[in-house]
Amino acid sequence: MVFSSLLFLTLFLPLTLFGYYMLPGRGRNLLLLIVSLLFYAWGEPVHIILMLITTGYIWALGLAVERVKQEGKTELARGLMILAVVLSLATLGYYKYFGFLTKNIPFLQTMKLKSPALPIGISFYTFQALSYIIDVYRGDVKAQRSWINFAMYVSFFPQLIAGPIVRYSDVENQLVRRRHSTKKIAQGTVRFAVGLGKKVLLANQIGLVWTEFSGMSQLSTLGAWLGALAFAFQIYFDFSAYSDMAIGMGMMFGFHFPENFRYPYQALSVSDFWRRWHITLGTWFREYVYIPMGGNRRGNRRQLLNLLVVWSLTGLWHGADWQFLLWGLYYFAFLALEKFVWKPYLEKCPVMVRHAYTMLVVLFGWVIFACPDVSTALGFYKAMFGIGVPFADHAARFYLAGNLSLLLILAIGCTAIPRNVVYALQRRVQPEVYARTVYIASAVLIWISVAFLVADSYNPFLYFRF
Amino acid sequence: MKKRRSRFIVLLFLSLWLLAAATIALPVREFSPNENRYLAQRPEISFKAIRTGDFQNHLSEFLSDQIPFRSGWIRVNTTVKKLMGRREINGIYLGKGHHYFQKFTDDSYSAGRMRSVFQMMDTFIQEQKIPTQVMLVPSPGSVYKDRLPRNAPYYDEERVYSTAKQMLSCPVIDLRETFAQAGEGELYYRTDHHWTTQGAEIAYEQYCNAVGLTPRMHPLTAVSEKFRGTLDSKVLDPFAPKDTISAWTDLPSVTITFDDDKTTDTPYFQEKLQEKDQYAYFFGGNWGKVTIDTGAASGKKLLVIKDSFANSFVPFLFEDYSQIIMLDLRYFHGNVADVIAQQGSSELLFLYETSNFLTDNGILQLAGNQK
Repeated sequence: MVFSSLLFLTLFLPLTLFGYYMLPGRGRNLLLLIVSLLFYAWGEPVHIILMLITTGYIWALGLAVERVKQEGKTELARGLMILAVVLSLATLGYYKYFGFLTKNIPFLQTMKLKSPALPIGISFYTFQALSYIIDVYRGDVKAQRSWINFAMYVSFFPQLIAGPIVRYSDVENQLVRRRHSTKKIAQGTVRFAVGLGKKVLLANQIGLVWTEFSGMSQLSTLGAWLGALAFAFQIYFDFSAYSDMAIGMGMMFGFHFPENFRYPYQALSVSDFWRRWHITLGTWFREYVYIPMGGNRRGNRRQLLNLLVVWSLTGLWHGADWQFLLWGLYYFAFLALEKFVWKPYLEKCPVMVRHAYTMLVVLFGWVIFACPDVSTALGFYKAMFGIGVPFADHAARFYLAGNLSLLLILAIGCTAIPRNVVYALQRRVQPEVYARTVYIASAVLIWISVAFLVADSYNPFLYFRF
Repeated sequence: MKKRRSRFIVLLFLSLWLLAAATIALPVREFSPNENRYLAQRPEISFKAIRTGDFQNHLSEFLSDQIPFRSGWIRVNTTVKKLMGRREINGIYLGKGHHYFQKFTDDSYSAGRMRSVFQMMDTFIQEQKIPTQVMLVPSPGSVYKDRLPRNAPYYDEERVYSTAKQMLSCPVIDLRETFAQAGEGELYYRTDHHWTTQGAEIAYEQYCNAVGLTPRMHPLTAVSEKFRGTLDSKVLDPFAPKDTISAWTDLPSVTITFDDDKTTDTPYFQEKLQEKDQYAYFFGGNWGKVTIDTGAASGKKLLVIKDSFANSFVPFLFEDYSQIIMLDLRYFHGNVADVIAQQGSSELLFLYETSNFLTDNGILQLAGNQK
């Protein structure tokens, strides 16, 4: 199930909220677990079994790791932790990368193996489970006694299919004790409304423009730039919308999730961009790959290697195919260059230049990411550089003119300006007036989104390869 | 403050839930005349349907199709998009003067497929050895280029005509010039993808010239002035105009047999003018096989292989042929060569609107239809 569907908005969410607040405190986690499994099972009921198995053995191994560590058998604890990591990575590897391997390794090609369907959200929840077992081993968190609480943490529907990747340490206490208030529910609802509007009214609409240009046999330079820009807006507004909705729903149920995006398109460098984009994924890789490998403490050469590993993995995390690996390496190259070569020069440049540089790198990056394969991406680059294509054609002019106001909204919407306007409003008007305005605006956003969900058939889920 | 918060939360989620509750509780509608399509019905629950995900998908479709005030939601969507400056909604161009066009670009069809269809048609035509005409009706967006939204991409029709003329051994009736010179009258409906009866009438005159007939003209009478067609269905713009449908209403009585079953004495279905898709006034819509015995004295027998554009055209031929059979290959699945043999057809006419022709799959079955 996805958040931006009538089923979720009109049945799943209202009923879950109602049930949740009707129950006394004790049953609430169990209810959240049950509805999360239902949410997950909605598309592919079979994969629920995998989810139960994963949560089962990670939970059991977590308890075991803690127990043997307390008994002083550190080596055994380490072995159990590694067992859990290997098991869950092997599962992830099988579902996500098996098809890629059989397609590309000649020996496996001949065996004509059938590759499994990718269970939705598996990359997100596997990473959550891993953060738990590693932190238990490190002694950063206590092992969770209750399987219900643990399984609920891994499968909690707001963050299950598209993040944010909530680390166990972020919510350890909240799993058992969390504060509920109408204020939190209201704030969460407003945040959810903003996310829903971003997804349905902005991301889906500009997504149509990308779909148009990515399917064209004849591109023009203007068209290629417009298409790339459209995708850049689509993925930001779509992905951050999912995080907004997740964080908002977390609040409705008393949770506090980490932020996942901080105006990435305002970044002043590529490294700055990655500190603002999909923050929880970057944090995860830093905590569990980069730093354990030595980070930047073992000399430049080792740091370069660590970066290479992290960015290859980051690339492949987004999808099991060459263009994603290439996309990761592309960022590795720019991050390494920034770190070792042009950081001092970049910092002397005017802010506008730094913005422009960052956005260009990001935009070209999205082209590799969005195209179905590397050769399509090359064709797209050629068009962007005007090689063998006209500067502008009817299609480019038509879609530019028809989406000018939308592009303007998106350009402003991806900066901190709207937030600052809201803050200024909050300071200037009566709290009563402010609250009423915000509530009415949220309700209007949700209802217009409903209209769009009824009328539009285009409502893609972009993270099916993650 | 606290009260206002609770009121906001309860009202919002309660109203969302009520929408679903109303969808489920209200009577299920089977067909949407406004959108001209069948709606998703209540999904059936079974273990198998749940396991395969069928139930889940059907439930989603059901909620969206049966939602109360469905047209109202679509109108909100259209209005917001228009306000944003969009000139394309759901694959429909909102042209100048409220003229709607089905979007069709060079990427909407495959040139290779087009060539093989022409090849196949030509083989068929040569085998039949009957005088044949192929009429490809120009697409509305090509005739009314100036009414398309500014810069809207539209396919290059010339490529299709030149391929047709080059690959087919029979004459191709090219209406483009006649249509370009046709003065005032509307050749296509503004809210529907079909041509108007005026457009079809001009085509009739050119057809007569091509086959050596003298056009017998009758006066056109308006039969409906409140027609909003299939293009309107996809947009549901509250400000859309209404089109006028006209016809030669003074035709002599004939015998029309639909799919070897039902018969009438007129091609005009008055009752269809009460429905949304008023173009079905002509022959009541599309049938696999329609046989018209006109009682005309000429003794000539015509077989028309066609799409829905022929429906408003064929009545003009009633006084020129003694028998006309119309085959719509989307719905007729018999052997076309057998029909020709049985009828003893003296002439053959292919009549398709060009963009329809490029994507129509029915015509592919000609490949298997030998004598």
